[in-house]
Order: sequence, then structure tokens, then C-alpha cells
Amino acid sequence: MEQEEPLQAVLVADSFNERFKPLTTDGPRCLMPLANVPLIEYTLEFLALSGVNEVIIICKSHSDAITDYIRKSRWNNSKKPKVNVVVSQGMRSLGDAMREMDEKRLLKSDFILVNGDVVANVDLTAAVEAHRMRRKNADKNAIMTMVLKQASVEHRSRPRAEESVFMLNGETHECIHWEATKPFPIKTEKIELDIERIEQCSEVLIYSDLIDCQIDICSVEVPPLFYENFDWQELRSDFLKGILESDILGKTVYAHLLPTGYVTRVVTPRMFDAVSKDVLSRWAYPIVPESNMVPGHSYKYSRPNVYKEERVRLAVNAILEENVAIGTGSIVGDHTCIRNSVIGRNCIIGDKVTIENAYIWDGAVIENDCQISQAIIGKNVTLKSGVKVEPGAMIKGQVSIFPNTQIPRNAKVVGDQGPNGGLVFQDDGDDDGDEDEIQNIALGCIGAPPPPPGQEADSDEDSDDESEFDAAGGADWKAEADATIDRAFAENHTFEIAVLELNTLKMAMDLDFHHLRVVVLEKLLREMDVSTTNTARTSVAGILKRWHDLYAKYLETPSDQLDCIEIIVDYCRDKEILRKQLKIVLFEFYNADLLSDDEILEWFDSLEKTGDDAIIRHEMSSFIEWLEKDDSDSEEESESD
Amino acid sequence: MFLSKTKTTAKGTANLVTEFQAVILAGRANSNGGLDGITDDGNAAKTEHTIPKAVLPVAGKPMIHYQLAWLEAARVQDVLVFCPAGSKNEIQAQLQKYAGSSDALKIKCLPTNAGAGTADALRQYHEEIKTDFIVMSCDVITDLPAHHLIDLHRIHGPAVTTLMYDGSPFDPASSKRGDEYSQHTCIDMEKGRLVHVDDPDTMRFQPLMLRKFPRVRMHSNLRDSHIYIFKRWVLDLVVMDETITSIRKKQDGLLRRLLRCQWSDTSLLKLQTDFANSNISASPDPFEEALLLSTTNSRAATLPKLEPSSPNTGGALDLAARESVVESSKREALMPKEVVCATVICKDAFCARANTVAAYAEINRQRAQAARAAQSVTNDIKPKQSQIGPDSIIESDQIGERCSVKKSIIGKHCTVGKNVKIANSVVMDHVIIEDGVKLDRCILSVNAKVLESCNLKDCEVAPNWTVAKGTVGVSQRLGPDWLQ
Repeated sequence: MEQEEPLQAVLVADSFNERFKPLTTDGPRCLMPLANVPLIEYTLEFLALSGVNEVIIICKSHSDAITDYIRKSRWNNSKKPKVNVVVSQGMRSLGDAMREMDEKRLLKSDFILVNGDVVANVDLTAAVEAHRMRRKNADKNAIMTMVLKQASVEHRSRPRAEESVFMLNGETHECIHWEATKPFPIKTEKIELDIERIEQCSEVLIYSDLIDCQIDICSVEVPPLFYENFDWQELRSDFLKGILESDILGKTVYAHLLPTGYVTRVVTPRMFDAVSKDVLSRWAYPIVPESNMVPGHSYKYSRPNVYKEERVRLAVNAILEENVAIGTGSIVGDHTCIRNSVIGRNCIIGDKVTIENAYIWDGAVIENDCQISQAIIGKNVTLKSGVKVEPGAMIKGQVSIFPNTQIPRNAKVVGDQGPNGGLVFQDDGDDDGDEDEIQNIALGCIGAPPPPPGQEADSDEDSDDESEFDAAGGADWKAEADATIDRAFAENHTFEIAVLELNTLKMAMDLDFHHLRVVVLEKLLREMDVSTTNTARTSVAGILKRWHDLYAKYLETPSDQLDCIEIIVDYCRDKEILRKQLKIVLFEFYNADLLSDDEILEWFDSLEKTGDDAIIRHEMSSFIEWLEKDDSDSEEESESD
Repeated sequence: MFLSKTKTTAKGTANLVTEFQAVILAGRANSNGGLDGITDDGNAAKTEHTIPKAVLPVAGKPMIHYQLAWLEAARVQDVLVFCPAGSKNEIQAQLQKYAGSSDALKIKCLPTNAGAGTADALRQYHEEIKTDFIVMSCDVITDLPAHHLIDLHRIHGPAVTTLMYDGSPFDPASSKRGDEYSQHTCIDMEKGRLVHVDDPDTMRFQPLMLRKFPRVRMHSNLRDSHIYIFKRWVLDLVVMDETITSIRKKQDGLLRRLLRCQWSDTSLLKLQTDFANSNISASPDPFEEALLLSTTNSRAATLPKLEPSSPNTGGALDLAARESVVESSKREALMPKEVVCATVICKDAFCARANTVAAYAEINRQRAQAARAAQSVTNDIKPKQSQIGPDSIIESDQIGERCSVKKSIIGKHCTVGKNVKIANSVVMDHVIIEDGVKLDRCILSVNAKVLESCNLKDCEVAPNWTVAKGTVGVSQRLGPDWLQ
């Protein structure tokens, strides 16, 4: 029976980013202590809970530490699940991990793909079962089921800057569309849907409040797909988008929604903070410190959410206010106040210290009068007396900070050279200069302010009634578009490139063809040499010859052409020199087969007999007469055929 | 103050303050004229239109009677009918016919300018509307009890309450894409708010909208029934902003503007500034007014304290100041703080719009069945050797021998010859059908004449039109040239 296949899971124990640097310089992210338990324990526990028989941990950085940890942990020699570690030094992304899996051929049937930083208390058995049934009965092309958690928009365990919109088929929950929605840039583009794909379902569910922990139930076809598409790196933006947008692959992806339970990923320091608090305040029950998942832990619960291990020494006047966990062997001094914090094992905390919303890892020494808030203090760090740590700071392990130092906001401290040298900060490495991305990453710091509410994608697109917005946004697109066409003319681009650029602009600014027509036609009128009638004629003819295809593209239908005439006339109306050449321009357009006589005549008929129009009427009359004659000639010709 | 709004019914009991007024839009369905083939609305040459859409029969009753009956059931008393000037007489006649059978409604027929949009018409007669109001199109036929909508309006006070129906049964089966009336309707999953309405061929979302409404269900089979309940301030908005021409049109539509205000702070702000800058006053709610004038009212109590040293003028000043505050807070009260658009999806009830010929025919068939089911005793005319299907309504007695009528409706004063076969068709009043004619899925408008041995399938015959002898037609519009 297929059902009897042992359920496998792939645990990717590398994040491929450096959000936790410098804390992760000495050890891997998945071994960071969250509420004094290494992160990977939560993930393994979650997989065990879901009935996984075999876990394959694939890791790159600090692979020795991970291998070592697993060998010494309770997972070594465990039967269910069996845990194997695979080291792949070459991988740089999740895509590489899947390619590695494909090469090693370790996967035999459907498997669960998770990251090594998942904290969850849900059972995936139902989702796995649903996935298997779907493949068997409904859709054998269903290669993946994403497990998504529903949560309110303001939920604290929601990773900011990692949010996305899922659109699902209302009946089957097949994923139709996925789109990342990052808070920066503030002014985002509209999300556009492929109508063809919606058409098949009468109901589409649009979720933008799902927590996506990238827990996926994949079928065995997934790793080969990564192998075939060697440029796929990310699970969502490459793989999912690739599958959804491909017409050739013919594969489908479904979503499994979890209305309840606790599922989240520790992807940023802010999430580390949020998840720690959730664990301490028992939102993730049964994941709480006193369940002592790791052998040797001896947490006991007391109100209000204070967890102490054995052999913790508290001074008489030490205050543990609420939501505090303290590991064994730690000492807390007199008049020290700790709230909403986690203290590791064997920490020594002096007198009159204030610690709030902070995470102090094993072996740290905090001397008297220190103040720490919203920070992560690495292993064996020493804070000499009077050190003040501002929110968002992270201090690398083994570092010793000199007395009375003030550690600034969001600082990443890797060393302290004393009163003269000052603090040494983590070098952020190669900034790729994308300001939006930097801002997005900054949202992940502990205590970071919430992202701004965002602005409307483009206010002047579908609401022409809001003319104010039109005017405001108006100058913007015009300048941009004029620059584009100027460049095209000056640098003598090919027709295709010019059209491509204009169309890109159209998409980006939500313009329509009318706007583009304005741009190209005004360009022509600007370029026209108006010194004499002759030069005007040759210059227009020259441009129309060179750019015939470009103009033809925007003048396909009669209504386009009418619009074109209107634009030209409006532009020339107030400029007498230009107006004099109006008939030359129209003649050349007619000559170049860009405007048909019908449209010119129709426009002419619509002119009023008074005001400006009358002048234009007068000036155009000879041309129109000629045109009418020409027209009737050709009609006679055709009649005589 | 209350007396002006009360009305004595026939039973002699004084009635309550009017809660809703209703507006029936009895114009031609915008410019596309889905029913032009069987009405004379589209005939630009004529100024007098004798067969407007509103009086087309549906299962033997003029269309507009359905809306009147629905409103009467909803206990609405005050009905304004907006109709094009050209068809006013005919519609007025039908209204009187209805008023003859029931006296619960106070109906007023108001002519609108040709080419005016629905919002333009509301603006034209805004002085007639003093309360929250129901707007409905003359082609919507529903038996959904009105309280489904009205309760929602009463409880949550949304700016607009709309009714959506599943349009798929009325779709021409051929195209899944549907006609111009199909749309994508986005409804918030939690609170059932109407979030967004878009054309079937484009689907674009503002990320901001999704942030405000994180869970949205998008339906592609739902259609707008054109029944709306509006708050009174919406009318002020229409009066203030003359760029709004229509309720539902894609651009400059009132509905779109309201929907946008739900999630876009800039749009809401603009709406509020519009209100602040306008000179609309006179809150329609007497209670609110009384509350503001009350000396114990907290809002009025925040008045600038007057100097006690001027006791003589103090009283007068106080009153003036109080009144100015009342004025400004009245305006404040008028100003919408939040815009909510609600929607009801019609379930387990009949709801449809007769806006296309196909839908008109289908509604006729379904209503005829329902009407027949309601009638327990049938006192039909049964001509000799004729087969009349149980799902047909026949109101004429001039039916020839050996005829067969199935799933069809035959109006009053019609003459049907021998050997005629009529299936799935609607035959309006005063139609003459000669011998040996076969009709399948056809609609014959008033006074039409179909001569001997015609065979028509999926055809529409215009009013007063004569179909020549022996015509064989499939999917045609038979009528004068302007229809083509």
C-alpha cells in the first residue's frame, strides 16, 4: 500500500541570510536557545508530533555543530523519527538544498519540507492525508500542499516584511496566485490577476492574513523540478510562482489552511522576541518551558508565568515580575528586576540590574547597575557594571563590555576595545544598496516600529473622478515618459526597444494608450522644424519615416486616430507657429498611411464654427477640400471596379 | 415637525415617520439597450415611447408591478418613479393600474432628461427625498423578503446595502465569460462587506485594500441586482459632486466611490472635506437636532464660557453661540465618519434582472411556473385538441385547434391560429399568430403579427412588426431598420 510509505521530512537547517548576525557567528541559527531550548528542538518535536518517520536535516554553515548536537541529543538513535544529517557545503539557497536532495535520491515518497526555525504545536497528519487523497483521487498533478496558518493582521507572531497574498480556488483550495506584499516600498503596484486562470472557478478566496511558515508537503516530483529549473532559489518567489505561471509544467499547488494552533517561524530578531514571549505566556501550549522537552531541563511553573529551573539562586530582594524563565545555576542579585525575559543557564546577574524584554544566553555575566531592554545578549558575554543596552541591540558571544558603556539602538556588537577603542560593530557586509530591502530588514529588529500603513498603489488609475490626484500624479508620468521618448530619439533606439520602454512605463504608471499617444505625438511636434513650411514638412516626414512602426502601433483603430488628431490639434491650438503647420502635419500622417481620410473628415466635421475652431477650420479648408476630392476620386475608382 | 412626515392610510391609523422612500428607475437600461428588440425605447425617431421596458409583461404582469409589490411588502409607502419623459404616460397608466388594486403606496411619477445617468436623476429630484432611500431598477424581479436588506441597513447603518444574485442560471449557456453585466464581486469573509466590484476582464487589487480586508471572497457568478438602500447623506454626496453621473458605472460611479472610501484614507478624507466645504445643512433627524440644542448635551456644553461681566448680552450671545455650534455639529453629524458598504447574497429566493432578452425570457418561464404553482385551481381556456403545458400561462381565448403551447406565456387579446406550436416563448398582448406557425424560444412584442407558416427560433419580434409569410428565422431581431 502506498499509505504505508514512511513519511519523510526535509529540514533545511540554514536560513541563507544573516539577520541574526553576529549571534550566529559562533553557532548555527537553529541551535539558538529560544526560551533556553535550541530552536531545532521545536522543529523536530513538531515533526515527531506529525508522525514523521524520517527527518533529513540538510545543513551548510556550522554543520559540525549541528551534527554534533544531534549526535548527543535524544534524536540520536531514535526510531521515530529517525534523524539523519546531510551536509552540503555548496548550497546557497533552498533551491540548492532541493537539488542536493534530488541528487542524493534520499526521498522515496511525499515529504514535508520545513525550515529549521519552525515553532509549531499543530499536527500535520490531516494535511498530509489530504495531500495524499488529493493526489490519488482529485488531481494527480498536485505536487505540493502549503500549510498556512490563519491569523489576525496584527498578530505578533506574524513575520513582518514577509507577508504575501494567496488567492485560492474557493472549492478546492488550489492556489491560483501568489504575491509577496512587502511594506517597502510604500507605494506598491497593484496586484493584477490572470483572468484566464480565475475563470475556471466561480469563487476565489483572497487571503492576505495568512502566516506562511513555508511548511510544505511536497511530492517526490518537487526535487527534480528544482533540478530542471536550476535558477529557482526561493520556495515561494521562484518555485511557487514558476509552477503557477507555467503553462508547460501543468502542475498544481494547493493550500491547507489551519484555523487554529500555533505555527510560526523565527526569521528575525523581532520574531525571536515574539515567539519567546508566546512560549512564556503559554500561547503555544503545550510548548511551554515546564514541559521540559530537552532531557535534563527541570523548569517549574509558577505564577505569573515565571519558570525556574532547579538551583536558581535569587537574592531576597530580587524581583521576577512576569513572563520570566531562568536556567539552572543562575544567580540574581539584590534589587534586580526582571520582566518578560529569558535568562540562560549559569548566568550571574548583579545587584540593581533591570532586565526587560531581553534574552540573555547561557553563561552571561551582568554586573551591577546594568540596564538591558529589548536586546539579545550572546553566550558568555560579560557586561561590566553600569552598562546600558538600548533596544534592538545584539551582542555576540564571549564579548566583554567595559563599564558604563552605552550600547546604541539596533547595534550589533562584536567586541569592545575599552574606553579608547570603543565598541566594534558587525560589518553589514555587502549592502546591495536596495533601500527598500534594508528598510524591510530593519522591521525585523526587536522593538522596531510597525511598518507604515502604506499608500494607494496609484490613485489616478481607475478613478478619473478624482481629478486632484490626476493633477498631482500627472506631471510625474509626463516628465518620465517625455524623458523616455527623448532618449529613444536621441540614442536612436530600435522600434522594439522604444515600444518596450514605453509599455513598461505604461505598466509602471498605470497609463493607457492615450497617454502614450500624447507622449509620442508631442515629441513629434517638438521635433518639428517650424522655420518654413518646407522644413516642417521634411522634418515631420523624416520622423514619420524613421518611426513609422512606433506611430502605427498607437494608431491602429479609427478611435485611436481620432484621439491622435485631437491631441495634435490641442497641442497646436495655442501656438500659432505650430498651428500654421497643422495641415502639413496631418497631411504627412495621411501620406504615411497613419491617418485615414475618413477620420480626418470626421474630425473636421466635428469642429465648431466659432472661436478657435473656426480659425482651424479656415486654415484646414484647403487640405480638407483636397482630401474630399481625393476621397471621392478613390470612391469613384472603387465603384467602377 | 412630525406631522409633515406622517400620512394617514386608508385604514385611518396614523402612520409612523417614513423610514424609507423608494426610487424606481424606469429608464432604458443605459445605452446598450439589452431589450431594444422588444421595446421601442431605442427608437430615437419617436418622442413618445409606448412600450418602455418597465411595462413589458413578465408572466402576465407589467414588470414595474413586481417592484411595487416588493416595496409594498416591505412597508414602504413613498415611491418615486423616475422615467424618461417619452414613456411617462404609459408608465403612469401602469402605475395607476397598480394603485387601483392597492392603496398602500403613494406613487409619484417624475420625468427625467434623456441621456441623464441614474445619479443625475437622483440629483435632479434630490429635494423629493428626505429619508434613507431604496433605489431599484425597473427590471429587477425578486421574491426575497425585503427585510433581509432592510434589517442589515437598520442594524449596521451602511452607506449602501446592495443585493447580489447568482446570475449563472440566466446566462446564455454558450459563453462562460458572460455578458456585460457579469462582474467580479469581492466580499469580505468576516463581516460580509462589499469590498470591490470589477469588470470580468480585468482583475486588479490595491494592496492597501487587501491590507484593510485581509480575507476576501471573490465571486464571479454574482451580479448586481440593482437594489440599493442608501443612507440619506449619500444623496448629499451626489448633489455636491456633479461628476458622479451614475450609480454603478465603472467610472464616476457612486458605488465605486463609496467602495473606495472603505479602505482608502485619502478617498475618505476627500469625501469628508467635500462635506465640510459644502453648505448642506438641515439634519433630517429631529432627534439629533433636539439633542444638540439640549443644554445638558455634552457637545453643546463645550461652548466657550462667556464673561460673567456682561450679564445683559450674555443670554443673547449664548444663544447665538449655541446655535453656531449646533450648526457646525450638525454638519459634523452629517459627515460620514466611516463608509460601510454591505451586501446581501440572494439565497433560496428568486432574484434576477430582465436586462437581456435571454434573461427576460428565462424569467418569464420561471415566473410563469411559480405563478402556476401558486394557483391551485386552473380555470384555463382549453381549446379543442390543443395541448397546453402546465407551465404556461395563457390569458387569451382565441386559440386555434391543434395548437401546442409549452413553457410559454401568451398575453391578453392574442389570436392564435390552427396548428401553431409555441415553446419556450413569450407572447405579449395583442399579438396575432397565424396558422401553422412554429415558435421556439421567441419573444413577440406587443401588436406583433406573425403570418402563416413562419418558423422562428431564438427570435425577437419588435412591437407592431409583421413577420412576412413563411419566414424562417434563427437568432434574429425582426423589426424596423433602426434595430439592426
